[in-house]
Amino acid sequence: MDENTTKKEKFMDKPVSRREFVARFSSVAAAGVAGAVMAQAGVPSRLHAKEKVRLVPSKGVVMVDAEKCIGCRSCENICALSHEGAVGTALSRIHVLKDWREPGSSIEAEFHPMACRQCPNPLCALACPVNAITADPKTGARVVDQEKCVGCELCIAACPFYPPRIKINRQAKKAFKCDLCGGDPLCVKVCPASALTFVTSKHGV
Amino acid sequence: MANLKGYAGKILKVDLSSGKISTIPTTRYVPQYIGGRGIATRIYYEDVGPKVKAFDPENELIFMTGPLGGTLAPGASRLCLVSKAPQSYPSESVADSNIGGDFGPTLKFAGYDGMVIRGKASKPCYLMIEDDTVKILPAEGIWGKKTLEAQRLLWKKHGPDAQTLIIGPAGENLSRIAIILHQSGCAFGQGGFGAVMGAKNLKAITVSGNGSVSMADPKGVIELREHTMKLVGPKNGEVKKGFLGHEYKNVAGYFQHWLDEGGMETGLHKFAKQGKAKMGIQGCYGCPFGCRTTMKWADGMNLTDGSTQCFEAFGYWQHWYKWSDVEGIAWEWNTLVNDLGINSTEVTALYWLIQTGREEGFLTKANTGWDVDQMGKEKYDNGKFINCEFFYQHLNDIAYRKGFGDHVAEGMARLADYIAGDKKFGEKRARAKYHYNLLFPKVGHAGGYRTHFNAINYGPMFYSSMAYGALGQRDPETKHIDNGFHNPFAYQPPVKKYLKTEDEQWHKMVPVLMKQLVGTDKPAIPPGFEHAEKAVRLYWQLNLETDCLQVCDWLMNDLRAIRFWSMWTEDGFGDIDLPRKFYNAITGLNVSRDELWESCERIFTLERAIACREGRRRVDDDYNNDWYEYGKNAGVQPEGLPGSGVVGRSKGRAYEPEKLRIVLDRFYELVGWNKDGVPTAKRLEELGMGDVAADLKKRGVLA
Repeated sequence: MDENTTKKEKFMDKPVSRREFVARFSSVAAAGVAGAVMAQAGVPSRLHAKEKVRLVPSKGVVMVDAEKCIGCRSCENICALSHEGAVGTALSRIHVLKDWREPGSSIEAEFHPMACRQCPNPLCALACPVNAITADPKTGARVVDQEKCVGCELCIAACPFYPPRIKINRQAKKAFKCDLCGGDPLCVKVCPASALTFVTSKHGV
Repeated sequence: MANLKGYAGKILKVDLSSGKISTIPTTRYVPQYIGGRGIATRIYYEDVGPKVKAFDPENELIFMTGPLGGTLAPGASRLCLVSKAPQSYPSESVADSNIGGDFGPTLKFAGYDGMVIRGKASKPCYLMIEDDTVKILPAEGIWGKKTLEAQRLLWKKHGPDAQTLIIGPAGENLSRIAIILHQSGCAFGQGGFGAVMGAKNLKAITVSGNGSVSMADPKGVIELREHTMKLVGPKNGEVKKGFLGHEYKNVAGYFQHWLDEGGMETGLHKFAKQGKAKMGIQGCYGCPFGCRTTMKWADGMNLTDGSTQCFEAFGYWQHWYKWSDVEGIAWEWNTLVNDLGINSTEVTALYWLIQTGREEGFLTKANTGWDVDQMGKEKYDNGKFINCEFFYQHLNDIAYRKGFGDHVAEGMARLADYIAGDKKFGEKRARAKYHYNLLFPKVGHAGGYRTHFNAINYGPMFYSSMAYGALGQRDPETKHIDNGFHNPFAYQPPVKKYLKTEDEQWHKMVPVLMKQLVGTDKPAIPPGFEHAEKAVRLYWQLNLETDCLQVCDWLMNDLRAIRFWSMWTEDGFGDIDLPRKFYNAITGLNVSRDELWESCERIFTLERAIACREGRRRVDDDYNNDWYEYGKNAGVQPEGLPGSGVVGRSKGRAYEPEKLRIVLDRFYELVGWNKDGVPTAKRLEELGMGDVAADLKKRGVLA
């Protein structure tokens, strides 16, 4: 855990490109998967000295059409405001990535909203040592139980996407992520460009 | 007021001379000065005396956000800058400027409502803000670089979410027409503030913010946003019926909008249709509208991707070349002026001088060193630039201050003086001053700023907007309050479709506006000018409302329906209280319309007091004679002028200077200024600024 924490801190301090990220954290993700395999085989491991995690599929997911996005960050804003009563990119569950570092990228012409994919087999839930991440009974969204969460950030390291779709609230020291607003995501409603859509299926997405 | 929501709570103070970094509480200034331009103006009043020169270390760059900044209020992206402006002519004077983008909100999330930067660093540096960590770092590696490349270097160092303000070579070389750029196209343009940064040896400011700003009534804010969405256009793919029954298909993006509405087609549209470019829409932070257009080019186009907005940079170049003929050149120009950090508005005025100068003989290849005859003959053909020697030379010479460019870098006002005063420009050299006067109609203190369009033609259409422009501390029509007045056709194409004659348009348009503003249907258009002074007062209050709360005036003026009508609502009425409603929900205050507008009046009275302290009087609230005379005869825009061929809106409505002066007299009386245009001690005290009154008396400005 110490090793993981160190890696995570480095990552939080200095943003890395997706390629660097994957290189740096593939070992963590792989450890998670390996751990799951070991757990199924009945082999105790440090991460998975806990009950097996199997979540029902989410009934909905926020889908992104980056072509339509106008980069206004209204989704970030309403997400933070409705959940935390405050505005700030750091408190948002959705993140509009504007990365124009490379000369080939077009300044102000490229933005990519990053919403949680509500994975069928979420690595964040798998990584959680206290099973704080569960499927919401109503929507199937993968949600963090704020009571249970110990703020270890293993879920963030385990998320295979960049930037991670699960984040840490620095003040509260708790992880938080997209809960689909209880079945009616406000980010989809507020988006002026129709770049976000809420896709549902009763069989799970 | 310690628990006032919606503010970050502190203002960052940086002294580059000593390296001292400190903060002051925002509560010192709110709610009295609201935020944004209000607080910045007050700090300017306290810190920057009338004798301070723009390039002195004592001059301050005062960046300020407002309570609505970074929230869900429409256009809550703004960041205001108040400083002594080197561009003002004949003497440097206080001016303000404004940008969108992401910088303002991010500054708030980092924990600061604003930044006050003074002093001068001993060597080139940049300021880095990451929440509580504020450092002055050496600018090695970025000093001397153009803006886009330098920003990329900063993002590599501080992460892609860091927001940047940066100056280009023009700012480093203390050009009076240098800009401060954010991203690729948001610029503090007018004022020449890039040179103030350059004089402080400050290349850039970066900010990353991981904090948050809490709201008094989050649910109320979300409900207000839903209300706002009813006032703006439809989402992508939807159709909405607006004013005059017109069906709107598209949320925004000016070029997209124009194209959809059958309006102007630019060269960029042609490229898009041919599959050479992909046009998209871009919005600043929190914007439900997105007025900027992004361009991505097909392979082999040899052009930089990026974004633009019609009235910023390349619009002028397109105007100049009659819209569609220049295509890639227009874009290349847009990118290059931003990359070099030059104020595009000023440079477009240069083309007017060159055009008339080469016709009348006072500007030639011999006396400028530029191949001026080549101007307008540039071509972009399948990835190749042809005939572009003048094009590249003049922009680089301006930024690096070489040859004739050294004089252009002083701004058009000082350039016109230089040409008129130097014998090498021949017998007709005085004509330079005449042509300058047409585009820069304001006289006296705080002159040196051209109109957004050619004021003769699109012009201020009412005596009220004329007076409003005359009173400003920068260019006339700075804040788009009267924007619909000068070109409703271009801006809102459906008007042409539904209202065929000009009479019909006035009949339909004016009542909506006037009822809302001054409670009467009687329009304040020439020759009638009743109520004009009331409209002027309201323009100022509405202008300060957006600038202090820090929301986009471009968008908010539509939603408040103060440019004739709100185009996306069926009755044409918007919600004039929209900013106030957001202000109350965000801060937890319960401010009435009158109270808020009184605060706004406090701020423009303070601005006036500062201007008077710097020497401004009533003689400075006027336009020059050449402009008045030209306007009498101007019907159709002459060939070569921006927007040529368009029938002038001022046709048959010549402005009489005497009438403007009557409006100003009434206005002074209405807002409690004396006959010389100085705020009276009584009015200043009423507004809670007794100290300002005492200061003006001490300096002999007030008797």
